[in-house]
Amino acid sequence: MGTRFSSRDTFHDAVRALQLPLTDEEVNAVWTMVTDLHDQADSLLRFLQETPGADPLRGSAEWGARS
Amino acid sequence: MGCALMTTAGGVCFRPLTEVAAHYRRGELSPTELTRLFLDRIDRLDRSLHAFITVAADRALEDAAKADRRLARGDPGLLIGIPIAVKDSIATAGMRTTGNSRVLEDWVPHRDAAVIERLRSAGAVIIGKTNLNEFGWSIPTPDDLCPPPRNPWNPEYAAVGSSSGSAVAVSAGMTTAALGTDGGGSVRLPAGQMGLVGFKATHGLVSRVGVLHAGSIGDVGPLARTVADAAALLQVLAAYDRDDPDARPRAHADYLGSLDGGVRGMRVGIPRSYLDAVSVETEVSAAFDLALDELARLGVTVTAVEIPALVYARAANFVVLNAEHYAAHEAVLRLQWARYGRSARLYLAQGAFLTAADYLRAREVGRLARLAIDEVLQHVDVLAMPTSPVVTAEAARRPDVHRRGIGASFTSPFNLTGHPALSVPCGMSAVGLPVGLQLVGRHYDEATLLRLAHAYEQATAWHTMCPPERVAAR
Repeated sequence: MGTRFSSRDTFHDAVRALQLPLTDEEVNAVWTMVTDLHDQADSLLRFLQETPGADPLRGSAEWGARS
Repeated sequence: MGCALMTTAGGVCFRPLTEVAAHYRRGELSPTELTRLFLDRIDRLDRSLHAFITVAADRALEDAAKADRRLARGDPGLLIGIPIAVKDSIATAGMRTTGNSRVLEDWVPHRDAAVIERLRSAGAVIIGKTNLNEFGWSIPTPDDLCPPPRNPWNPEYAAVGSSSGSAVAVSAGMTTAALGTDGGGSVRLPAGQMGLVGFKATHGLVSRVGVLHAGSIGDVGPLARTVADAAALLQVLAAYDRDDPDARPRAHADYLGSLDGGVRGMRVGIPRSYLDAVSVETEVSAAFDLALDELARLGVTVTAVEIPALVYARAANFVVLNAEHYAAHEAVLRLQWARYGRSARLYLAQGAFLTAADYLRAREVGRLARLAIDEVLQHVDVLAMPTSPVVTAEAARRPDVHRRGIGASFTSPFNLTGHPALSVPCGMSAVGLPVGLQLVGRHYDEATLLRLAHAYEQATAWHTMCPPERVAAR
């Protein structure tokens, strides 16, 4: 579990790059939300890796099980 | 003509669409009379309930007068003169459409959304535009353009969203039916919590053209008093629209006419492991178990099924919604950050931190989940589960619950997979808020889904209850 950013500072940098005028308080709130969101997104990758017939590299189950 | 029904038991403001239409036919009530009754109730009740953002009184009365004339000519349309409220994320020509956001505070569309064109052609009266979470993607706050709706069943509690205003308007007897939009449960969840039927048809069956940010998984759906009312509305709303990229040309069933086809021998699947994995409140579980007992009494076979992908479909739906909402708002967020509400702008901004790979994986999970559900639906006719794991909006909006979409655990998977799903009332909680039963059907098999829901509804009395306010307001 955890965000993909190495630190809160790098997250601040990423927010600044978006050119969105978040206050420090808002950045902290979004940090918490993004941490959860990344957690969920990462669970999808694990699910696809563990699901027979779902190849995350190809992104299509029609290609069948990996040989 | 005097409105003799106004003081009869039940009150015409709380009667189903199909019954109102019958009153019109018998000359016991006119569209103008009913529209005036609703406008009066809105005037008296909505200062505290906040269901409406815009009340279209003048236009509604003009349209009601036209409906009076159509009925006098013997026009047989079921929706003629039926007052309908519309979520304020659905474009209405000449009537402002705000998304409950200061960003669109003064936007007056030049064209109706496709669903509004169909309702107007069928003779419906658009009575006003209803409240929602800002752009359907925020936790409502008192400083929103329009403050959050209260639940008429117990105004101590907020009305769950995002089509909360539509559900409040119907539930409190301020309109006969309403339209909402549903990207993760936003029609079904408020319907469940306010004792209504909320219906999301197969993705693509109802046009989304003219709906703000419907994205790739959002749908328009009715909120109504009965399953028959939802079927009647679907009959009008379902139509191929070449401008909707997800629409497919196909023949439409007689949804209303097939309600009484019988359900004995039908098979209902319960994704028991998924239900056990979600933290379901005791009162919700109890109401659900009683609903299953009732289905069994109707001759339905209830059986456990396994769909492991459901838990990932919920997460994937959340990822897709986040990514698509951010994409829709990215440019405007930069230019008008301060005009968005404090909650909406943060909810919208989080999607910026997803990658294209996250989005594509979420879509792939959705495709696999659809295959898994379709496989199960070869062995059962319908899936059943609670509409919501929790009773109150407050429980669903706890930050740790809301930001993971847990309140939509049972509804959101079927947005991602596109299956038709509805909520029908099945119980009452200790705090006086209704509880909903969700039924999910095969793609484009709305007729079977509606038939089962109708049979359950007719075997129970939950749909006949009204909020306690009704007694005082009658």
